[in-house]
Amino acid sequence: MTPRKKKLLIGGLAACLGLAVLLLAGLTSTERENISKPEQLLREILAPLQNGAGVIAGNMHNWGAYLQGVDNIRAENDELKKEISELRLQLVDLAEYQQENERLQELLNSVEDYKSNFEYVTTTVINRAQSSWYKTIVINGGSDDGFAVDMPVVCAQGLVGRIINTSAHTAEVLLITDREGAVSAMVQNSRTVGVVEGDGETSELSMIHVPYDAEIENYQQLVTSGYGGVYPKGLLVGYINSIELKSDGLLLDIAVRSYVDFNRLEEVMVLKPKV
Amino acid sequence: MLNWRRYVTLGVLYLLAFLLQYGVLNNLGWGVFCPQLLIFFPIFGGLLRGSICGVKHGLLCGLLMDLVIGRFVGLNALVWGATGYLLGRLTRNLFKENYLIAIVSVLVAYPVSCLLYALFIGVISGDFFSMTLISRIILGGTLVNCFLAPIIYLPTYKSLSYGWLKALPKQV
Repeated sequence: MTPRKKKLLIGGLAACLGLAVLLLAGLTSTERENISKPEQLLREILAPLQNGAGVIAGNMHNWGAYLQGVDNIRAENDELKKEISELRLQLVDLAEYQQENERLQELLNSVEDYKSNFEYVTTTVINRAQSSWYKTIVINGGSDDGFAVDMPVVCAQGLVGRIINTSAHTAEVLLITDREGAVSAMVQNSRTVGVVEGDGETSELSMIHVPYDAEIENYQQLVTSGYGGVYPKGLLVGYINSIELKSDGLLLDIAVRSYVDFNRLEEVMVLKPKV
Repeated sequence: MLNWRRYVTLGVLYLLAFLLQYGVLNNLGWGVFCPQLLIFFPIFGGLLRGSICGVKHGLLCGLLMDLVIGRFVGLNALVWGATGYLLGRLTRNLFKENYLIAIVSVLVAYPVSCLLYALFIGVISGDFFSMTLISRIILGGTLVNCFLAPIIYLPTYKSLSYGWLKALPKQV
């Protein structure tokens, strides 16, 4: 074979390989119910290590705080934060129930109540991000624990995301701050429905598809609307931080802030449907 | 015997880099400032051993990364393979015994690989990443990886020249 033919052959093979890879990438671009065996194997190998690393990182953080003599203040602060979160959740729940009572008295028995339909399974976060491109976390517990794709994940401060794939002992959660993690939500007071989405860059969220005449104000709470079938109705998403009219004059540009600190998630709860 | 030792050493280095990257570093919450240890294999492979070696390391490292991320499987392998190849071709006639070449290689290769990755994802999915995100990832990653480059380059160069990674000459 002449060198020129050899070069052509190699070039052709490389082009075919490139196309095949692009095809494979295209096929795996969307969420998959089942990840492949090699992927599962890698995750199972990494899970204990990630778990250990998380514990070490947490301990180092605590040790540093101890050296600075602020451990007690931190504990107190954590306790207060926890209390605030719990109270905030209670407030949201109460407001939600009040609204439901006012508007749906006659349908009260058939109102969807996610708390009675789901059981909360508490688990720990073992890895925060597999890549800078995506906003995901890996949690301890997978298909062996009954976790499945599309199960909602929450923490004490509100909605975190949903499971996008599982291995036997781990599950990957797509955060609502990811650009593909949009949530159908509504303003708790006015029941105005919109879509809350992240920009994939920061932890900031925005609510889109809200008409200019919607009756909404700053600091109103947003809860999941229950549309779309993934998230049950009434999960706390965040609060309205600012409202601006878009340049087209028809829709509002609403900045939303979540109560969840997505960079410091340690424990989360998976909402597992009751059988 | 020498080549076996080389392969075992490479295998151990791969394992260490992989476990350190996905078991520890990614878990520290450094965001875009998290180092990318695996990318040094195709970059330094292409730089010190030529384009074919760069491709091999790029494909392997990229595939490992793809399997962990679980989205757009094969894309990192393709991009890193291409990066390793291009770097090997472009640096063929350059003087390698210098720290600066390692830094410049990372300075060029990392942003190029990120841009290619973002571009391919946009083309495949029809949903392009924002330029803010791309620039944040490129700036953060380039900064950290350029800092690490000379630290990793010296032992790699020494080992490739007269250490455990030195290849056995081909027998005629």
